[in-house]
This record gives sequence, structure tokens and C-alpha cells, in this order.
Amino acid sequence: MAKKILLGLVAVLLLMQLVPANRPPVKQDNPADLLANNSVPEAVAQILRGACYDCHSNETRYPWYAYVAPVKWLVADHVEEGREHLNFSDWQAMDIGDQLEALDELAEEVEEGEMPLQGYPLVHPEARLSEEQRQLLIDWAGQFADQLLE
Amino acid sequence: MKSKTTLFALLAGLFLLAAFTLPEINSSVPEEGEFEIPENINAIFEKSCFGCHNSESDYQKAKDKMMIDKLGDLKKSKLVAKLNKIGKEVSEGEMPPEKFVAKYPDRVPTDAERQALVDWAKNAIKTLTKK
Ligand code: HEC
Repeated sequence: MAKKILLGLVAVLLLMQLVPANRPPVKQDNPADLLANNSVPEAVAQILRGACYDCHSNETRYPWYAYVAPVKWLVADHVEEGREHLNFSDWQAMDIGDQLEALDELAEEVEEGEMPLQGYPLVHPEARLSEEQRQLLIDWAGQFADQLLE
Repeated sequence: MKSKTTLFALLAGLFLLAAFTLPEINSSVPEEGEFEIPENINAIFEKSCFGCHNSESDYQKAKDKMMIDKLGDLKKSKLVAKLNKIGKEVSEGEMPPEKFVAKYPDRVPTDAERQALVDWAKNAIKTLTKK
């Protein structure tokens, strides 16, 4: 009996692999990218790349489990939704209102601990932000917003 | 004699007080370019939003996000961010929230009022971000 259940489970897992995940494509060349076009302090750029860019840019680094169901569907969903909300690869193409709103939102989400997304830091050590790193990011967002108005 | 001196000192004091406080009263008159919400727009906010997004509201969650009557106190970059958000939430029909719409149908902005809010926010952003 137990053997049958196990076998059934394995069969389902194998069948799952046939359902595609539709991972949003990776693009390395992004002429409108935030970091490519603005002088962002290195420490901040490092946080953005390490803790945000997987979902909020076209430069997603898909891990091996992004190719294995059922996790692949979750990853694909998160990346799609993340880019839809804010895509740093398109930064220069956003209008000033959207840029300032994004920076305000960024500070708010990081302050409230909503971002990086729950669970993500568990499997991405570089996204485990210290209190100092959070503050650095929040302060930068405020300064950069003011700078955009100069 | 003594009372005359006292009176004089008092008058002089009052005069000085007036001299120092008057300019302050003057400076509280909005300067040109300062952020002000036009009356027709404010009327829509009052009807549809102030119940939650006003400094008098007791809905803390909504207040924490934004107090429309205190927008003018925000620094410019933050003000633009909030105006942008207002435009988005109102045009996408996210605000006022569903529950409010169901409970107070007569306080929901009409399509024309929504459009007026969106246009106003857009123009205010344009003015504020003009270089
Ligand atoms: C019934 C209470 C209520 C009413 C009425 C209401 N809101 Fe909200 N609003 C909220 C709450 C609560 C939030 C926070 C939502 C969240 O974070 O999930 C919010 C969030 C917002 C935000 C996002 C602010 C930010 O910085 O994230 C904007 C913009 C906004 N409301 C605009 C409006 C406008 C404009 C109106 C009127 C047309 C309005 N709201 C009416 C309760 C209300």
C-alpha cells in the first residue's frame, strides 16, 4: 500500500515537470537600467543587485530549483509580479512621478520589512539585510529622490 | 510718575511684540508656488477620502499612509510620490476601498470627479517637477 502511494507521488512529481513555468526571460543588456545610468554608491548598488534585482530587473539569476516543479511556478510568478510592479532595468523610461513614487515605496517597504519578499532571504544569503543596510537603502532612496528634482 | 513709566514700558513692549510677530503672520500667507489644493478638488477629497485620509480621521492605517490635508508639509519628492499614487489609485478604482463604496454609495466619486482628481494630480506633478 505504502509503496503504491509513493509510486503515485513520484508519478505526479514527474508529470508536473511537463507543465511549463513561463519564467520571464533574462536580458543582460538593459540600456535604461538604473545602475547603468546613475551614480549610485557602491554599497547601495550591491544591496540592490543582491537583494532586489532578481525580481525587480531583467537580470534575474534563476537558481536550479527555478527549473523544477512545483517551485518553478512560484519563482516565475514572483519574478513576473516583481517586474510588473517595479523594473529597475526600465528606470530611465519611467516618468519622474513614477520614479519618485517607486523610491518612496521602496523606503516604505524596506522600513516595514515587507521587502525583500518573505522567504527569499532564506535561500539568498546576500538578501539578508542588516539594520544598517536597510537604513542605508532608505536614506539613499530619500536622497536620490531629492536629487532627481534638482 | 511710576505708573506712567510702567505704562510706557508696557506700550513699548507691546509695540516690540507686534513688530516681531507681524512678519510672522505675513509669512504664513502661502507664497507663490506653495502647494495648495483648489477648492473644487478639495471638495471631492472631503466627500470621498477625508473620512480616512485626514489628520482628524481615526483610521490609523490610512492616516499612516497619507493625510491629504497635510500633503503640503511633505518635502517635494515625497509630495510628488503621493500625488502620483493618488492619480494611480483613483484611476484604477482602488480608492476609495470596496468596503467604503458598498457602505457609502453616495460618497463614491463620480467618473467626472475621478477624472478631475487624476488630471489635477497630473498637473500638480508637472508644476512641481518643472526644472
Ligand atoms: C475607508 C477608508 C478609506 C477611504 C474612504 C479612502 N482610503 Fe485611501 N487608503 C485607505 C487605506 C486603509 C490605505 C492603505 C492600504 C494598504 O496599505 O493596504 C489607503 C491607501 C491609499 C493610498 C496609498 C498611499 C501610499 O502611500 O501607499 C492612496 C494614494 C489613497 N489611499 C488615496 C485615496 C483617495 C484619493 C481616496 C478618495 C478618493 C481614498 N484613498 C479614500 C483607506 C481609505
